[in-house]
Amino acid sequence: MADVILFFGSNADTMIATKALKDGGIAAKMIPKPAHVSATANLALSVDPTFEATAIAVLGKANVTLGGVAK
Amino acid sequence: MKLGLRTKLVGTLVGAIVISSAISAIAARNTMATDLNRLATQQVGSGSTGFAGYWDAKRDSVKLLVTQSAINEAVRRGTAARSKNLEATLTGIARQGGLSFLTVVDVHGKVVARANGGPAGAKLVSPFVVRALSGETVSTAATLPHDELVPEQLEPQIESTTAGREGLIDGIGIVSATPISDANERTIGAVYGGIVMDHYYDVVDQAAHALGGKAAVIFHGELVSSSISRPDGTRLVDDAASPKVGDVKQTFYGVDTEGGVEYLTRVEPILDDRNQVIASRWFGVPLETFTGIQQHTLVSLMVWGLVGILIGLAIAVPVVQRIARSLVARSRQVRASAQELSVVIVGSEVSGDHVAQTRAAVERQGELLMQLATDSDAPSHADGAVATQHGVAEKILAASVLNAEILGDVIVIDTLASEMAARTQQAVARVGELNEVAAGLDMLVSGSK
Repeated sequence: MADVILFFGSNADTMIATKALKDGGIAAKMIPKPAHVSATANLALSVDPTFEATAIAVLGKANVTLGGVAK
Repeated sequence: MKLGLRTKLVGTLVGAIVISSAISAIAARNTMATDLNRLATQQVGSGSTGFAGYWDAKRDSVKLLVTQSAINEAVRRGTAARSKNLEATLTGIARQGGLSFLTVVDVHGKVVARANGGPAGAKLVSPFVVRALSGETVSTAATLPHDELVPEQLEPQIESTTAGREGLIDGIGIVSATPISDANERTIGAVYGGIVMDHYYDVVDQAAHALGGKAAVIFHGELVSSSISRPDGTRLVDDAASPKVGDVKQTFYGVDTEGGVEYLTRVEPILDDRNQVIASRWFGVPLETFTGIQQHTLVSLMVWGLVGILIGLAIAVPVVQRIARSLVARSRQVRASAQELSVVIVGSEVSGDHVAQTRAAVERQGELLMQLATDSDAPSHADGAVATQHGVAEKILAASVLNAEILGDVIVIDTLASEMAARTQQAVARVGELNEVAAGLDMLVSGSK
């Protein structure tokens, strides 16, 4: 199954989200923003789909605003 | 409970003013207690001395009137002639001089005439008359026995005016007796006169008006004359003095309650001609005069303390608000700067991680390329023919995928590098801002940068 793409408002938010997920024990890979995703940031995060809910919860807990999710 | 800076600053100010006012009030109360005690002692002592002065002046006045009577020609002639007509002369002198009684006796002590029109002829047994007939002039305070008051028609003056209360039998008076001599200086009789002090208010009223307190005469434990008022405003007389001062033999100084009012009093014994205590002079100043000053001052201090708190608050609150607003603004600056700096720190960490990931991908691609170069299931030929390699297409495909991933990673690294460069520039600016905040806080605390 393809990874879930999480995208954010800015590259800074993407970096903070990467750190937050790493601290939360969730593997996330920073990737260039896919062409089909519409976001202001150039970077996005690729997460295993089984961890999607957990990742969103961790980001919420870390006060990181999620721009959207693309599958 | 955690208190904010505003509450702490204002609370400290209010607390300081309250503590200062309380200490001032306690200090003022203690100082005033000492000073007022001294003042009270002085005032009551002066009043008591003044009252004694009025008493002595009255005694001297009685003595002067009696001695002047003794040298009055009409009196001398009337005494020598034992004339009953002398009565009119004595009445005139007594009335003019304000004497309660004035009596002339002959050389044998028999009454010639009385100013009050009492019976004549009987022997007057007063020891003062005996001494006057022996040539001595006597002037003193004295107990006037009942059998002396009756013929002088003075009994009504000592009777109690308080309904249902039995009065005293004897009276107290200021008396004087002096011999009457003829032209040859032989004693032909004596003049005996005086003032009954029971219900006689001239002395106590004069003392009270002039000295600013209350005065009374206590005789046999009764207030026989006083300027003290009852709660209903009437004169407190023919009533028992408080047990504390009813029978003093020595000077008393202290608090005494008369007529339901507390007085700071000085009570002095009244001595007769034999230095026996026969009555006492009471002089007092209402205690409220002194305690009232204390209470009024304390109330004033508290009210002014409250005014001080209000003024202090009016001044302090805007200042505290300004300081608090300034601190809040600085706090916002610090928070924004911290956020920017945290992005730099996080970005460094994340970049490091991504570089590591990229390195791993490159290593994997290297291994793949090595496998592609060496993996062969055909035996090598002795004549050096090229071995056929299996799975070349799959390996190239995998290497292509990996290459795409590495390309993505490189793009990410490039983006991160650009982002970090921009963030580092911002961080420099934020560090400058933090320095500015620090200077602002120094200015706020110490008044200088």
